[in-house]
Amino acid sequence: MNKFLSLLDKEFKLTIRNYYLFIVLAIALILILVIRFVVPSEINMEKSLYLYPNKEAVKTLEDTNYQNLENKSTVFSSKEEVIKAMEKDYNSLGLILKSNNGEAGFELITQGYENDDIINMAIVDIQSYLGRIEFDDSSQVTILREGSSLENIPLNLNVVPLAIMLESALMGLFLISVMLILEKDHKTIKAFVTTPTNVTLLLGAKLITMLLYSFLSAILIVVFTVGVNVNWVNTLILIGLTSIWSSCLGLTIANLYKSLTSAMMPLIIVSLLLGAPVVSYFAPMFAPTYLKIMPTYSLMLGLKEALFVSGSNTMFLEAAKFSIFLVIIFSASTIMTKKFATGKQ
Amino acid sequence: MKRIISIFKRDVVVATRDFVLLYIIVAPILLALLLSVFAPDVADSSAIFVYDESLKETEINKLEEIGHVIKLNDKDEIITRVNDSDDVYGLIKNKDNYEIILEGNEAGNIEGLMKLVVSYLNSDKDNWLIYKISSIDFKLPPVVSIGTTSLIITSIILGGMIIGLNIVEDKEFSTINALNTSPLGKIEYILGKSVLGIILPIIHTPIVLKIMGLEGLKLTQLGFIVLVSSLFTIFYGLMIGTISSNQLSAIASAKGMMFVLAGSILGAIALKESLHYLLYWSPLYWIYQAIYKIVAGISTWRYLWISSGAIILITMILFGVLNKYQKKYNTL
Repeated sequence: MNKFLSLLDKEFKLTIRNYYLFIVLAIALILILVIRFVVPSEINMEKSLYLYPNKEAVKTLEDTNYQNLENKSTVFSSKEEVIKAMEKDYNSLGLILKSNNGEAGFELITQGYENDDIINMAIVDIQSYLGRIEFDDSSQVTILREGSSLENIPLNLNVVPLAIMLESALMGLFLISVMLILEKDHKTIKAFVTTPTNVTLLLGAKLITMLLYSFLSAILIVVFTVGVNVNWVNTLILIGLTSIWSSCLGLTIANLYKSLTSAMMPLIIVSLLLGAPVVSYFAPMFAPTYLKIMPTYSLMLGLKEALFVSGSNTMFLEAAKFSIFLVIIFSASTIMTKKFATGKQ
Repeated sequence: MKRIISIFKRDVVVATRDFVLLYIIVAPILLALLLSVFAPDVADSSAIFVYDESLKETEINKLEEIGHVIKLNDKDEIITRVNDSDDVYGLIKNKDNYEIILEGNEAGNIEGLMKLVVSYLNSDKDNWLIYKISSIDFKLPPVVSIGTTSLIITSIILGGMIIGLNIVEDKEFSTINALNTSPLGKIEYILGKSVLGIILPIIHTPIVLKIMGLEGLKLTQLGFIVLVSSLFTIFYGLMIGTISSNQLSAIASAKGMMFVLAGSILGAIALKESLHYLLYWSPLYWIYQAIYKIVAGISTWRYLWISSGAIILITMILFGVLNKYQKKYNTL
């Protein structure tokens, strides 16, 4: 235990000497400032609607919800202007109201990339506004998890789970590899092997160092953005488990390579793959299996639940189970590859 | 020139060890392959409805027109599926009344959307207003145009990182001190170090376009903007190499800068055009916009000249600041 504590002390001093504590604090501060002051609290991701209303057609739509549709749109005085506006905004649709023998009709102008489902849903929406689909409010609505609504979470706070996942939880992936490779380069590890302490303890000390930095970074970001009323137990468990497995993964990669530049590409590719589920975070209906099997998929949803939904543990349990499994797998891989760290091939 | 080439050759020889050069060339190509698989799925995504036998065929056909449908055996299976981590919406019929089943944590006003869907199922299309669908023929989904642009920019930034790490490696092993005793000038050294970082995006760009199936683009314009962007690549690499004394701090400074750079790209994507003036300070904003417009097929030479001018002007100012820093702290 004493050996381990002295290794831990050495690792901390090394990180402080290399300004790592400063870097963690600086990046946490940057993220806090960006989340609080740069990312807007609301952003309208719905398609913009550019409208050219024919006056005669509008007269026939007086008893409908047309006015609400017009209020949501940007109105132009010709079809050409609508098209010109659409060419500058790839997330827009055009609506040209026409009059056919005293009855209204319309032309929906799409960008061209939309699939049929999206176009048909837009037609349904427009027909509803123009009074041809009667709104039916009589359906029974069953909400399976009351109180789990995230509708009122501002957008800037909604990105906090991603920030703490990508920065705090996964920081070990890169940084621990850099630290290990630097020690290999400076032959510190080879010198270390001649001491009574074993390499496994050294790697363990590095893991714990990364773990504590992950906690520090996450706590700062959460406290200064979301506040203190979160499920801290679940949040820290998820961050801790992720820090351990990502650090083990980083160590495994670093053990296999001789230099930082050669390890850099695998690390970047792994980081990008782990970051891929972020797409599903912003587009929840897009969740193919190859994204769902990524550990970061359940992690980001587990963090979102821990920060914003009280009384619910479903996603946390899923993420925690997956993370424990990965801790076992990657700890084993680290131990198996540790001999490479000492230069024994 | 010979000295610049010999620095470049040395970097290539070092990079071929441990397959580094191979990784550097392959990584963005691998990412392009992944994106080309991924992008059609994103473009094809729409609402997913789960139902059981209580819905009639006519209702199911109508649902298929506005989304993907999954048939399950009973309400319990629907509840299990809706409770899954993604967003799917359950719809069943109890006698003559519809029941909408939602998890509760869906994004947006899904309850309102589902009531509209139910209203649609009850509607008679013969009463609908006559309509026509046309398009402005912009067939490139945003995930492809934005994704391809991001990949090209990744290659540009990767080039900069390689330059920076190479410089830091020379600092750590005192190679720079040894080189200072040679006739090699500082500018020659920087240019020699930069060649590999500049060549990479030029190699990657046509390969990425080919993988993404983007043909008929204005390659002259793209080549021009990638070449102009190499000024930023050199600055980024030099910044990392100048302010970092070791590889750990090089990674950290690259990471810190990445937030700033990524922010300007995300702003270009998410903000309305009227607010883009907030991003004019960032060379990466201009690089992104120029490449995006070329990929989307809406670029003009006028815009390219303006964006190139902005990239060059801002980057030269940044070089000036970096030069003052380097002179003050003698870090290179």
